[in-house]
Amino acid sequence: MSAPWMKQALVGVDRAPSFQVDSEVAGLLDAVLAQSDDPALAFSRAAGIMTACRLAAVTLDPAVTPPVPAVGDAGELTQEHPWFPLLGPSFVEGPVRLQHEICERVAAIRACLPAPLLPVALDAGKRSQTLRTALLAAIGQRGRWLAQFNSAWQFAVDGAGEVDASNDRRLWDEGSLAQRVDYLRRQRAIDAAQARDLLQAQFGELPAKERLELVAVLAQELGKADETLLASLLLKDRSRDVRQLAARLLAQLPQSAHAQQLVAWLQPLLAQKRGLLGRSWQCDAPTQADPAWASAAIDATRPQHDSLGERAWWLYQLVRQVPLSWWTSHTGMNAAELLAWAAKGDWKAALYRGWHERVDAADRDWIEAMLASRDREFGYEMSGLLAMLPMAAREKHWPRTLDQLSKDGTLVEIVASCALGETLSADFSRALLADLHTCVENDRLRYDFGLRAQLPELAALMHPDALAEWRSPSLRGDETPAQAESIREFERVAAVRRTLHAHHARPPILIDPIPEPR
Amino acid sequence: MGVALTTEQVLALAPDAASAKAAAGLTGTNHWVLLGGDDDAVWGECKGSGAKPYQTQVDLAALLSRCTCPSRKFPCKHGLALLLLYAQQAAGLPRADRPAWVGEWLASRKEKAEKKEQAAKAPVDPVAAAEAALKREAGRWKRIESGCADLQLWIADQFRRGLASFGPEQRKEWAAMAARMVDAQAPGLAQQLQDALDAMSAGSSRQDEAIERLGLLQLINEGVSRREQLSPERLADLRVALGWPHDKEDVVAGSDTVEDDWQVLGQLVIARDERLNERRIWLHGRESGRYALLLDYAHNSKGWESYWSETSYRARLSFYPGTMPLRAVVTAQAPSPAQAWPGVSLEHAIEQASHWFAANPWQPQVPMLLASATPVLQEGGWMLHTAAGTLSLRTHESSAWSLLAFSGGHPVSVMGEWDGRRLRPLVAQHPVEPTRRWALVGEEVAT
Repeated sequence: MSAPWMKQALVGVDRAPSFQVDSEVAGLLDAVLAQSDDPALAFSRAAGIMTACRLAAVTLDPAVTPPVPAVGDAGELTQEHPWFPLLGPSFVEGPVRLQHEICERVAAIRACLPAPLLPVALDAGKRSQTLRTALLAAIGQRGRWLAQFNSAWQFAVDGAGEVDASNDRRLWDEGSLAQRVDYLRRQRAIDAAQARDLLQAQFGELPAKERLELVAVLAQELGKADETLLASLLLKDRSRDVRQLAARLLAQLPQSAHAQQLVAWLQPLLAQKRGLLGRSWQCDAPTQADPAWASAAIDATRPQHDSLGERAWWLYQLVRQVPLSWWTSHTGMNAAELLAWAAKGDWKAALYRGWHERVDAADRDWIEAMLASRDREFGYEMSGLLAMLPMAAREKHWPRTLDQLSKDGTLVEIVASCALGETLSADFSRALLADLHTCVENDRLRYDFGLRAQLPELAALMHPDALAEWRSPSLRGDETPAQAESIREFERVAAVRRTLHAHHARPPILIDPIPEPR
Repeated sequence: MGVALTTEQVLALAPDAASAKAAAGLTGTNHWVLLGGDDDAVWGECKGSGAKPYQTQVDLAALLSRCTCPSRKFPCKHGLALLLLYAQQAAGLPRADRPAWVGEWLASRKEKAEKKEQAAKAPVDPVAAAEAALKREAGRWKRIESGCADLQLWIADQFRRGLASFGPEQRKEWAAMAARMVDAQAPGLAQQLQDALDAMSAGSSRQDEAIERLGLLQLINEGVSRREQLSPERLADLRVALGWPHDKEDVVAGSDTVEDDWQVLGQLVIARDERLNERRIWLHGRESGRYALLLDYAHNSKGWESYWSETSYRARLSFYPGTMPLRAVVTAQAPSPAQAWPGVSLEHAIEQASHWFAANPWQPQVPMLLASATPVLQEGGWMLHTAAGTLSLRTHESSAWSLLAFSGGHPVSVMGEWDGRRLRPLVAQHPVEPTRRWALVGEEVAT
């Protein structure tokens, strides 16, 4: 419909329309217009004629330039592959843990996801950042090609994921933050000094968030040579978070000036006193702020709403920086003894909070002691502590019945402490699966919302060997819709995983790349 | 048991994705207290939320199911689950004697079919019947004429007032006029008016479409007032546009019947409203070279009249009358060997679509086969790039992305519906390996 027609139709037709049209149609239009005294009626008839004329000649819009086509993928899963029907629904319905496993399994057989399913897979990656690394390994060249057209899928654009060494540097210069962090990690493992220089060279141009994530990479292969850079960050960086991170890293270098300064501050606060029962350690908090703390990322001013008092706040900030090994070597007490000792003193809250923030995967005895203490300070973040332990060690802290797990909230911990790609041991999985039958039969599932909500995640966490032995529970027929839905969800995830693992022994099912048409 | 089914064929019967998912969850035999089957039917009792299990049965010849559950969907999840079990178990469901409730249902179906057949054969007074039919027809024309006269004035009023003033009040007026057309026994006009209303409601980007739709409605009004001057074919076009197609029996008895190897080019199910699904299956005859449309509706719990899951059928089609007949009804069908899509040049495809619309501007869509076209996303709009230019695509965002992913930026063969403005892609094939194909998945609500 041309502009003059549109204009008349929009503003209103109050007089006889007159338009420039093709000569043959013009005669017809004139005849139609002459049939009626009503200009609006004549206009509507003429609009019908013009439309019929337009429909009778399909007109294509001017050509556009199509994008550069994708390179063919050799291992795209075909519709005949047994995994094919499972993939689309799993990427739409989740859970992320299952999607992650799919990506890993697909990559393991050197295949990639079927092209028509790539949009739902990339959408899943858009929703879940933790899925992305695995997803990139499964979407193939076609997926990376597709991602360039959707701003929400930029995490997967060409250049991410599998790239050859010659492209690596491009990732550092042009990649996303996640790609740059990943690149720096790899460089750090190959040549720690070179990685540090790389970071230092660009440091001034980076925003605080990026600086924080990139400096955290220095924890890997941390050494004396890093002290200069970290010390300068501790003094000069504009971001408090970066300064605190630098302080924490420096504290891990016992020979660094910062670490020695911390010990010099902390040591006088710990004194050995002689009593009736022998010698014992006593802890005190600083009595006044030291202006030198400012250079060690220690705030003299207590936040207004913090639960710690002023002196405890100062103590806590010292404690959170000093490696836990210093406490055991200095006092001669082990982790459990130190926790028990601190619990009896005046500064328990400051010490517990500081130790909790300081603990990492290397402090295995501290983690075990913290978990065993069942103290409220550690109870808030049990999953974080558990996640630092190997799976076998974690399972020792968990009851082996769903009933108990659900009752004390441990089920959520189990799920939260297991990273994507991790599964429970076969033995522990078997115990839980056997108990799931009981929960279905004894109505626990009917009344326990928490348990129902966690079932799909649990299905994704079970060991594949245990899942292969799973038999559906017999239903009584009086299940509530929520109950039936939760069982269905569990069975859905279990069925997908069984299929994914049923074919692991088979050779990769690949198809030859089809020559792309010219 | 007589019919061989695959899981995919069963899932294709699902009314929606939720039903398919729910049915998949009921395929464990522990959900069923009874399972059985014979050559004609399969049946089972499925545990539900009530005290009594649901009695589910499927007539294998027609793939029609019946269930005592309260679901309004058809087939319900229990019917689908039963078919899935049947498809998945190579040895079939355990053979058993039919329970009484299965026997009764099958017998009543048979009885109804026989009654229908007898009614068709029953002698009627042809003169009296013809007179009654003529009287009914005259009555309906009278109501339609009256409705069209109102519509004609109403459309002129809209243009007189100017469409720029369109707002909530006008929206109500338009909806009221569409309802008036239903009362006038012209549901086709109501639908077209609703389409125009949808275009107006979409904002300035589709105002021109609304104007064109009103213009075409005005041509229908003209046609009705001059229907006695029209040829029988043009009159048939007009009746279809009014939503008054010919009776299926008359079509089957008509002369335009073609027996051929009909290839299923593409199909689409659209939810017209909560209770009505429309299915369009596009066919191409290998020998005749004709295109055909099988238009079917499933209302409430009724299933589709026929089942089309293979890629090709030897079938006899009877075409509805019209200047360029496309819609047909099938009277006999049997699967036949798969065949490649017809080779159609781009020029011919465009010429053919133009020709169909030139003959009948009121038809909602025509089939279009493009041998080499590349999906493109340009400035937020989905298009199909061809050597002769681009066509706008009419499809949901998710389907468009999926099609783009399938093509990978390479030209693919596309079959779709051309509605005069945009192409709705239904199927795409890899030009070298036709078994690698993309198809519109699930139901799409008209956009």
